[in-house]
This record gives sequence, C-alpha cells and structure tokens, in this order.
Amino acid sequence: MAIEQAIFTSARSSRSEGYHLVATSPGVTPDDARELVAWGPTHDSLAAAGVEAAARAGRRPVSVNFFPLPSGAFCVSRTTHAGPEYSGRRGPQVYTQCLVVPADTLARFANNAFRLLEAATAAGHIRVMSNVPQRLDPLVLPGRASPVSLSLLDRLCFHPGARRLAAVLRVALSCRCLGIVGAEKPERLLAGAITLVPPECRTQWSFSTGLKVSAQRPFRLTAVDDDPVQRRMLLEREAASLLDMQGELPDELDLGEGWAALVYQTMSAGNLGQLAALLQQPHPGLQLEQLDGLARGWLAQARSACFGQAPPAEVPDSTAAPAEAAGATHAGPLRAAPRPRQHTHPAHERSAVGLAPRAGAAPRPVINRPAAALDPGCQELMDQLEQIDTCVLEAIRGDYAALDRLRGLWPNVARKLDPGLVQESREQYLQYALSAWLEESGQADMRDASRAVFALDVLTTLFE
Amino acid sequence: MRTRTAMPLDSVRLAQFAVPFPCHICGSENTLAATLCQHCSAPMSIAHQVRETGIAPHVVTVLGSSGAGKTVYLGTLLDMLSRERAPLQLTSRGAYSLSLQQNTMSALARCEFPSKTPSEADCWNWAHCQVRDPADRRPIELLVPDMAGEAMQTEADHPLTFPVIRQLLGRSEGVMVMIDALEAGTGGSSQEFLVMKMLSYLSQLRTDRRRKKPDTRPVALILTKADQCEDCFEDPSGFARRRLPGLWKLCQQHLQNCHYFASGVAGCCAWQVEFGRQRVRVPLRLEPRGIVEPFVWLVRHLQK
Amino acid sequence: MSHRPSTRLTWMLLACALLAVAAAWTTPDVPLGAGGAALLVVTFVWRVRRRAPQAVAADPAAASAGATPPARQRVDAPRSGSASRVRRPSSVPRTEQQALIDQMLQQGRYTLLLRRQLVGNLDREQLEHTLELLHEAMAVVPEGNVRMAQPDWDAVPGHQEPAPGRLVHVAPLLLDRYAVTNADYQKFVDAGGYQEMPLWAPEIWPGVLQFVDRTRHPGPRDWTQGAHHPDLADHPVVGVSWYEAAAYARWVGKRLPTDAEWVKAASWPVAVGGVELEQRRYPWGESLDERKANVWSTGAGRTVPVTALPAGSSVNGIVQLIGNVWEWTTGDYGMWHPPSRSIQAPQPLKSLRGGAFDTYLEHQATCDFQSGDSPLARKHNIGFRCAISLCDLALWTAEEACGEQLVALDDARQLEREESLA
Repeated sequence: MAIEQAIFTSARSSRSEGYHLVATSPGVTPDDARELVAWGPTHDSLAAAGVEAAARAGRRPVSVNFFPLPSGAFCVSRTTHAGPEYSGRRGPQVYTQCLVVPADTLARFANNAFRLLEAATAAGHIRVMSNVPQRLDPLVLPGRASPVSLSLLDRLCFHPGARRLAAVLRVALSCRCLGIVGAEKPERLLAGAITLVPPECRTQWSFSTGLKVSAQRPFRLTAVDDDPVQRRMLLEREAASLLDMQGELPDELDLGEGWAALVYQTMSAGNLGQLAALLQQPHPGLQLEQLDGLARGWLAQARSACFGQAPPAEVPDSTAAPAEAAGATHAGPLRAAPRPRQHTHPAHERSAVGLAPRAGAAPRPVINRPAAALDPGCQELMDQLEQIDTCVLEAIRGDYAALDRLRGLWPNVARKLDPGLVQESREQYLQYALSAWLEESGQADMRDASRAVFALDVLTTLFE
Repeated sequence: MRTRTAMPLDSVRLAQFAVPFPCHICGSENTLAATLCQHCSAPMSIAHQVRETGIAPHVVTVLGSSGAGKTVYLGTLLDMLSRERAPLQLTSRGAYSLSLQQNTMSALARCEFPSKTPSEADCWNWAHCQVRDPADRRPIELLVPDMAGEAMQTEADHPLTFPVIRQLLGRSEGVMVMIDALEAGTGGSSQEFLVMKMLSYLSQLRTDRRRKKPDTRPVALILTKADQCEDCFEDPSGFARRRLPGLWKLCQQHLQNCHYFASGVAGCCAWQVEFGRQRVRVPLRLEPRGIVEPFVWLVRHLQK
Repeated sequence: MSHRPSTRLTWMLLACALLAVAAAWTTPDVPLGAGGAALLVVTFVWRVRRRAPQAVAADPAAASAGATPPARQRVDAPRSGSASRVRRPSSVPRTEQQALIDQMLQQGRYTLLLRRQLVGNLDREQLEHTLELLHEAMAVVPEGNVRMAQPDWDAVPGHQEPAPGRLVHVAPLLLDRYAVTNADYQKFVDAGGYQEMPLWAPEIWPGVLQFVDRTRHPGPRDWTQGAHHPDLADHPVVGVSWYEAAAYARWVGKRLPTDAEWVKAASWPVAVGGVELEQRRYPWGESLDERKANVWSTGAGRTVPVTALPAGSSVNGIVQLIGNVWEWTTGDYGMWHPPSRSIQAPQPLKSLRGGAFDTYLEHQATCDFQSGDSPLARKHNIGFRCAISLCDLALWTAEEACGEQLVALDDARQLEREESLA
C-alpha cells in the first residue's frame, strides 16, 4: 500500500493562512487530516534544548514524531525549521512532513518508525519544500527492516547504557505518559526504547523526540526540556512520570522483575543475540501491559534451564569495567567501556554466540579473536583501534563523518600493526559488515541498498 | 497560657487534592492543584477566581484570521485601560491576566510585533479582568482569551478539533471581530471569507431554541491596521460596505447589534532585515488609535 | 516702463511750481507765489499716492497673494514675534521695493532678505526690523558635535545605558522656535506655492497634483477649500508630506533641518571633561513631564497651539521639540542603524523626530528616538519646522549696517561633516 503524506506548516494559501495542512495527498481521509491538524506543531513548538544543540552543530533542529490516526494508520512525522515565518513575525517557520503509514506498511519495518523514516530519507522522500504544491503524491516505499538491529543494540550498550535504557523501560511501562529530561541524544534513547520492546507493542507507544509538551499532543514518550513549566505541564497529566537522565542514576534504582529487568540482565551480560531472539519471537496481539508477565516467565525459564550465560550479580553499568577472562568466547558488546587491556581490541570479540537461529534464517557469521594478542602497554594503539571500531560501526550505519575519520585513522593504525594482524582485522571487519547486511534484510528478499553501499565504502577504505 | 489553633490534618489536605474541581470553561473535572484544565487547557485559576469572587465573568471572544492583529489589539487595549486616563477602568484578576499585556507591550517597546500565537490552547493568554464604567455603578467581570486565528479557522472548518474554542464561542456574550483593513483595502478577499465562516460557525452554536430569535449579542467589527489605510478611519462602515460586501450583507442579515470600528496601533511599519536572520515586519512607532472605543461600546452593550 | 510718463509729468509740474515761486519772489505777486507753492504740495502728494498701487502690481506673486477669494476665512493669529507684524514708519514714503520687502516680511520670508544678494537693498530700519523678526522666530544652535544614538533593540527601553552611537559635527544654524503653523502655511498656499515648480524637487513634479485637501484644492490633507480651520490657525500644520514641507521651507528661504541638527538643538550636547558628550533625554532635562510636552499621557488627544507648553522649551528657547507633532528632517530613517540591520521599504523612508500628541510610549518621545515614514505620507500628526545655516545669511553685513554685535562666525561652507569616533 502507498504511504499518504501531508505537509503541516505556516503559509498563506488560497484556503487558509497560518499553520494548517498546506498540502495533502489524495488518500488522506478527513478524519486523519483533522487529527494531523490537532497534533500539528505550530509556532515555537520545537523543544529549546534541541534547538540550541542544533544551532551549536550548525544544523536544523529535528523532531521525529509518531502517533496513531483514526483510520487505523499511523503518522510518522518529521518536524524541523524551514526558514522565516511568511507573515513577517519573528521566529522560524515550523515545518512538519507527515507520512500516513498503513499498519501493514509499518509492519514491514518492524513497527519501527525510525527505521521507516530512515528508509524514506534514504529514498529522498523527506525534505523541506520551499514551494509546497497544493497536491502531493503518495509514496511508495519498498524495503523492510529487521525487528532488531544488533549493531544498534551494541551501540546502545555503550550509550546510553543498559541501566539507563532499562530505567526508561521500567518507568515507561508503568505509566501512561513518560517525559525524559536531560537526555543527551533523545532520538537515540527513544529509538533504543522502541527497539527493546517486541514489534507488536511498538505501535502502542506514541512518541516525540523534540517537541514541547502540549496538551494538544499527548505523546506517551516525549523528551522534555529542563524547564519547570514544561515539567509541570507533563506531570499534571493523568498517570504521568518524569525521568531525569541528567547525572548518574541512583544505585538503588529498582528495575523490578519484569521486562526492564530482562533487558538489563541480557544487555549487561552481553547476551544481545539472546535478547534479539526474544524480541523476534512473534506474539500476535501482545500488549505493553503483558510484557512484564512475559519477561518473568522467560527469566524463570532462563534460570532453570541455563538459557545462555547467567548475568553477573553486580550491576555492570556501561561505565564500569568488568573483569573478563582472556580468550572467553561469549557474546559481548561490540564496543565496551574501558576494560583491562588484556585482549585485542573489542572488534575482534565474538558478537553472537549460542543463539538458536530462526527457522529459515541464514547462519550468522561471528567475529573471532585474532591469534596473537597486542602489547597491552600500547595504550595509544588500543585507543586508536577502539576508535576504528566505532568508526566502522557508524560508517556502515551511514555516518559520513565517521567514514572520513576512518579514512584518516586506518592508514596510521595499519602501519603500526603486524601485517598478519592487519589482514585478520580486515577479515573480521568484512565478516561483520556481511553479518550487518544479512541481519538487516532478514528473511525477505528486499534489502536496504543504502546499507550495502555504506558497507562497501567502509570495506574499500579498509582494503586499500 | 493556652491558645487554640486550627491545623488541617494531612488527610484533609490530601482529600482536597483528591476532590475534583471543575473547569469554568468546559466543566470537566480536574484536580485542585491543576494549572490547566486537562480537557480544554483553560487556566484553572479562572475557576478558582470565580469561586472566590462568586461572580461568573462574561466571556468575550476575539475572532480573526491569523495575522489580523488580535494579540496586538488586546495587549494594547489592556495596557491603555490600566492607565488612569481611560474611559473605563480595568483591574486584572490574577498574574496570568497580565501576561498578554506584558508580552505585547514589551515587544512594541522594542519596535517589534509580538510573536505569533501558537495554535496549542495551553500556550494562549487569557485576560480575566474587572471593568468599571464611571457611568455605571456595577463593575463587570470579563474573560477574554487570545486565541490563535488558525485554530479558530480549523474549528470552523472541522468542528471539535479544538473543543475549547467551541466551548468559548458557545458561551460568548460579546464578540470582537478583527479584520485586516490593509488586506481588505488592497482587494484581498480571503479575510472576508474567513470572518464570514467564523461568524457563521458562531451563529450555529446557538441552541435551537435561541436560534429562532435574532442574535442580539454585541459584535464589534474592528478594522485593524487602519493607520496604513486612512480612509478607513473616516468611515469604517462605508469602508466595510465597499471592501467587504459579503461580510456587510451577512452582518446586516444575521446580527442585530453590530458596529464597525477602525483601529491602528503602529504609526508606520517597515520590513527590517537582520544580517544572517530573517526579514521581519516592525512598527516604527506606537500611536494607538481607535483601540478603546470598540471595547467601550461592547462593554456598554453588555451591561444593557 | 510704465513709470516714465508719470515721472516726466512730475518733473514738469515741479519745474512749473518752482518757476512760479521764483517769479513770485522776484515780483511781489502773492497769488502767483501761493499758486506755485500749492502746485508743489499737490505734485508731491499725487506722486506719493501713485507709487503705492504700481509697486504692488509690478510683483506677480504679490498680485496673486493680494487677491482674496471672498469665501475663505483667514485669520492671522497674533503671536509674539510673528513675522506678520510689519512695522513701517509712516513718515517715509513707500516705494515699490519697500512694499515688496514688507510683503516678504508679512509672509515670514525674512531670511530671503538677509541673503547676500538682497541684504544690500535694505535700509537700516528695514534691516533692524528684519533682524528683529529673525531673532524672534528663530534660535541659534551653535556649532559642535552631537552623538546620534544607535538603537539597541535588545535593551529594555528606559533602562539601557547610553548607546555609543556616531559622533556628528554640526555647523551653526538657526532653527525655528515654533513649528510651522496653519497660518504660516496658508500664506504659502495663498501665494501659489503649489504651482511654483522651482520650489519642488523634480522627482515629485508629477505628484504635486495629488497634494490636495478634502475638497481637492491644493493644500494639506485636512484642509477644505484651500484653507485651514479657523480655530487651528496657531496649531502646527499637519497632513503635509515631506515634499510639501521642503517646498514651503524653500519658499520662505529656509530648509528642513538635518537629523543631526534637530537632535543637537533638542538635546543640547555639552562636552564633559572635554571629550564625553552629555546629551539631554528631553530638551528640559531627563524625565518626561506632562506639563512640558503634549504626548498621549498628557491627555489633550489632539494638537495644541505651537506657543503652548513653553516650559518644555530647549535651552535656547525652541518650543515643543518634543510632543505635539512629529517633525520631518532631511535624514533617512535608519541612517544611524548598524549595517547588520537594514530597512526595506518601497521608497526610502524619511526621518521623523520628537514624538506627537498621540505618542504612547514615553521613550519614543525623546531627543534620540528616530521614527520614519514615507515621504509621501500626509498624516494627522506629522508637521515640521525650518532651519537655515548661519553661513547662508549675510549677518556680518547686517552687523556693519546696524552696529550690533552678533556672533562671530567661521566661514564654514560645509553644512555637515560626519566623523566616526570610537
């Protein structure tokens, strides 16, 4: 099915003035249109923190938003600034491009609004139009996304960390509305929270990564400015909670015994593959309220049947430095926080071990350790290797800046490494790129071509 | 020496917060500590104020399309009436009532127009005030919200999109309609259609029983930005008849108690361009004309 | 020339009278002598009477000014120092030139008479009278620097520190003590000023026809039948565009003040410590006093006579620089703005200074606040006053003629030069 779209912004058109639906595609129903207007962000709607951060970075602020529509479809929208207000009043024009996504189309992208928006952006459908035509065309968006991205999980383990993510899940599942204050990268945090629930539940969480709190937009998850008025507005809602991510989380934070605890234990233990397998299990009609019960059952099963490796007793926060035995082959984070330099750089650890693959799925390659260990005293080299790990991950994801950094780093590191190690590193990165490509496509024959292109760029750099 | 003191128990305090408190605009229940009504986003302090004074304010709605000048007019009006020289004396109820006046006047003092009013109802300014006319002993309580033009238009096009607007229009006892005289004078008809739509929606909200009778609510039709359209000041009715024939006819047919006014706030406007920033419209000086007269007319007709 | 036949006749009659008197002297013939003397007297009286109407008819401008449509009412309100008060010794016979001079003084065009080209035509008494009118109507603004404030849009009005601004040097000038009144402007209209194209800027020639009153007669916007309201004779003329103001100024032999000249006259800068300029916020001091200026808070709600509120005068006796009406200057609006901010308008806006009776915000009726409007704007609250550079007047010649002490002047030809000082 085609994706309908609409533009909500401030303009003077033949029908109206000010903020209104300037343009729609023919398939947008009147009820959906009214809902889009009701949720539509108008003047000065973008959160101040996001605007300031974007200004520092020299780019436009962006908010990714998701909410259900009366027709059963969902709105995936992107809000940004688009130049001066037409009426001559101060303040930029707030421009929102709304995609009206049918449920089955969203399901192709694992009910993950972020993945769908990424695909639409890569296809060139998401842009700010200076002259908005009165009539838009519906979009056709091929491709799909896997329910879980291991690479994303890897990154989430590093930032914001298993504990913070588990805290978000814990609070989000216990209230109707959650505001998150002080998140450094709210988009990544919310993307992580969405990824860490089964796809069947993701549509039940409306969210916004960068809009101000308003009664007009009752998002269930929203990033909130550190502003007393915003905080109060959110807390006055029924069954609303506020989670302050600034500073360290309290040690006595109780994650309970439900879904949040399950996520925390598996992530902190490095059992990402296990977690991914759990998330990919189909649960038709699963509700968010049922997740805790589901998690309790799995945890009990895991304890009794030694499902994977038992998590460590203490809290292995992302900032902590757990001790690991040399040569242990276990599913661990692709990139961890500072740890004793007893092994090779983290890119050479196994990424996924001990998982039962889904029926029909291609076998997943693992990244093995190299034969020789590096001199643990070569701290600078170790740091550079870790940086290369990060650059490879981010570049394959599509970060051009990371690719540039990789091009600058890799030749220097390659010169310092033993040729055998260089060769082995290349092989490991190649296997990782291949696994990232395979897990992206899953069982379907439709793949995200942009990811392959990014991977090729990375491999070209590494093999030059 | 013993003294008696009365100290509420914690349980009583908790009970107060648990007891529902109705919103004055939509009547829905909220908690005692709520700042905004969770249904219509009206300030709950209005309800508190009404409970304390025992006087329900008359609701006066200000209609107009986006950019017609509602915020500038209201803010300037409130400021002028707060001065001793005004024919009516105005006293604000609560600090929140001063926001509109403060925001508008501080912007105009910087030779700027105030920011656009967002469509979100929780961002609107509400003026709750007591107005005293020397010609009348009884003061009158008024509630005048500054609503976004596009929100009103959306509500007129798609009813119940903004329930608070529907509630306010349904309870409105007096109406001020802002029409951009500058655009009307240059031949633009969009203003006319938008205002006609809003007035039609307003009349639809009257109950069936009342609809058979003519609408006697005072409606002040204010041609704004008339400082840039001088012939508007000389004969506002004639200007409306010539430039807004459809609106003129609608008012003649459906409104028994309406009057045309001309008003202006800025003596002259120009476009200002700041390096690296946007082009904005700025007032070069502030010389309000015809601001108080429509309001005086409206208040005196409300008292009848 | 029309005067020759009458001059010849006069001389003939005079000669005859003298001969009669001489004949009567030599031959004691009393009737002859008496007749000759009588002829002398008659000749003299006839000559004086014939001179007055011919002198008026020789000047077309005077002829048109002398024509009075019977329907209009014009009241020349008496005003202290008014140029309409013409003092003419009755003992001296009136010539054409004298009548012209009187007329120009009547119309307030005394500065034209003090030009180098014309000052030599004045006798002592006329010179004294002209100077008297000049000093009654205009005040000296001495040479010096003035800081033209740069607006600080981020500052809280009324609380900001003095803006650095740009330092401008102003040559000495004379500025009208009062704004131009309806009565003053009526003379310009009656003299056919709207038809004299040399008075108008060439770019506005096609547009002069649009400067009409309510009855489509040439004149300010709110006039009727080419005349002002009789009760408003001594009120400042309003409803005139910048071009009309400039044309009037040119007609009276003056000009509009520059922006810097106006601010200097109002704020009266004083160099403190030899370097720092201290300028007044208002001509009378630092705080707004509603008894000294007609602004919105004063409560008049309309213009007042230009002589009202004398307590609000500047140091050198210029009245109502603040309030009553905005005043046109020759500057452009925005000329003092920083380069990072510019104004876009269909045509360049002209500068307005001083505030008006309906100026609502106090800080907009100060010496350093600049507003602006289209040069074609004819608004109910915009008037003007005139200025003239001291170097344009031959005052030292007058000094020599009258033996009065005047201000010693530099031979400054440049009206204004700008200096940017850090």
